[in-house]
Amino acid sequence: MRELDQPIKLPDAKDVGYTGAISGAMMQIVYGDFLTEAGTIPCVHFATNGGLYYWLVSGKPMKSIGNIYVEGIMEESATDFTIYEDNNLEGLGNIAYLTTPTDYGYKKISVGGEGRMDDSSSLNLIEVASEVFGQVLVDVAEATIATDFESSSWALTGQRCILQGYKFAGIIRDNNIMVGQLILQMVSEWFGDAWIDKSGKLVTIVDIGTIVEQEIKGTIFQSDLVETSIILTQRLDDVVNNLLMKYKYDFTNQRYLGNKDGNEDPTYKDINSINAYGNVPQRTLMFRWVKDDAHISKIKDVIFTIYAGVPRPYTKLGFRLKDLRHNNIYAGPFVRFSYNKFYKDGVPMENEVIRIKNISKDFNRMIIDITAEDMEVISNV
Amino acid sequence: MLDETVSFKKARLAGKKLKLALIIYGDRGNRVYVSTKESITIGTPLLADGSWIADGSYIADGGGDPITDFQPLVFDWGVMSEELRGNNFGNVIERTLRNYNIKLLNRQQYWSKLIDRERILNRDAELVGNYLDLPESNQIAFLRMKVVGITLTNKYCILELEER
Repeated sequence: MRELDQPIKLPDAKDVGYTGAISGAMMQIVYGDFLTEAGTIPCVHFATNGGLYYWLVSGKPMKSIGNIYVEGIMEESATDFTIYEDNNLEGLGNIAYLTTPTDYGYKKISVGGEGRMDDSSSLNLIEVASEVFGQVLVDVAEATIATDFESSSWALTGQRCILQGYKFAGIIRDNNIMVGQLILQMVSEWFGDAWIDKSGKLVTIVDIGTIVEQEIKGTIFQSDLVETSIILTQRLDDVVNNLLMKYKYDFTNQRYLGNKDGNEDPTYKDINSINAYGNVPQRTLMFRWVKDDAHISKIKDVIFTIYAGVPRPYTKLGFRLKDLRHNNIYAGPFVRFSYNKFYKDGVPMENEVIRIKNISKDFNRMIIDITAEDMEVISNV
Repeated sequence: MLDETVSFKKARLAGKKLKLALIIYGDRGNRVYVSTKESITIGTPLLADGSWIADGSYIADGGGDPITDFQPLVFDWGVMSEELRGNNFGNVIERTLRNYNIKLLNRQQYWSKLIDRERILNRDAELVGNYLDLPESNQIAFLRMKVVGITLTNKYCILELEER
């Protein structure tokens, strides 16, 4: 996992070797649609050369660059700027940038545009993560992905992103974040998770409210359990039936421009859950990497599937394993669980799928304490 | 002060022992839970056999909602505490109410089965008190709450209740 522990290394313009480059100007990368969607791309003054000022839009080619804004005000004619959407500047690689003879000093320059996208739309998570990863170790990107990512979970995550239409949109411009952390940040925002498995590989899931058989990594039998330790909890606090979702992050002004408020838009409330549990306090969730309305709506559906508590309240389990026989169990994956004194769908819990959220192994007392959440359905995707 | 009826007051002054019951108002009727240490029954109708005095302390057909379940499962009634915080001048600036937990037996997986088939979370509940030989119209509600948490083990069910 050494690669995932490394910080993202966005190149510094000076290190790339541009003539007149300014030290500390990071070669940010833009993903997704900033042209038709809200928000603009803040440009970075990265070089001054031959009487021209070079402003970086993205360290990768842009599909298009639209309006130019100086201090947030659109330049009507924009004749002061020359736009390069995809140019191999000084033979050092294709980037997107603007040049201008005017010294704008510390003024904020931003543009609209379409960043890294496939032909029709934004890239999905897997494609972006592969690129982010490639950015760290450019030479061995493909090989590293193969060895550092748990391939079946990675493939499933990609499949689910495509199925759900999840599109990544945002600007990677922070050099202080670890690669693994950034990927965790992305998937957790899309209602997923990422963790390191026992062989040291990065496992990712994007939770769409269903599980496939291949995600189930073990079985806990009733005979493994310390009976006095088993606890099931259901709490009203865990019910989510009214959402305030903020998205369409504007990287120029550091605020969210998109707002889906259950108090204004009834589709962001779960009426069945409100009938059952009343109006629980509204949950505010922020999505830095989402711009697409359809995407945010899909995430909302997943949240309500899991947390609205209809037909069954969100349930947590806590239990202790008698010995260290299950030492290969770790936090993150799904396992099968049986305990005949708790019931589900009218019958004792047998081979029910649960997800391990927390695990502590006590090597003095030779026991394992686990907390888990009860899951719902098994499907093919 | 308790808003008690004449009969209730009489029983209290006579030093009788108050019995507590937890009532959960469910979809399918009311569920009533009393202490495991009690052996009481409910629903005894008032018979017009001359043993009751029409002094206003009894109500014919004594109110009463349908009861679907009556179980002596309460193991521990728990402790309810609240606190008033004031500034130096004695003005109340905050009222802190802690959630109240009541511990019931999960005898024969009663609660395991119940929470599987019926929604208990967010149900209204009351802690009421009455004397054994008084009809339901005399009972006093000490706490009016809703169920905000359920913790289940093989032996017990702890209901976390929050005042309404």
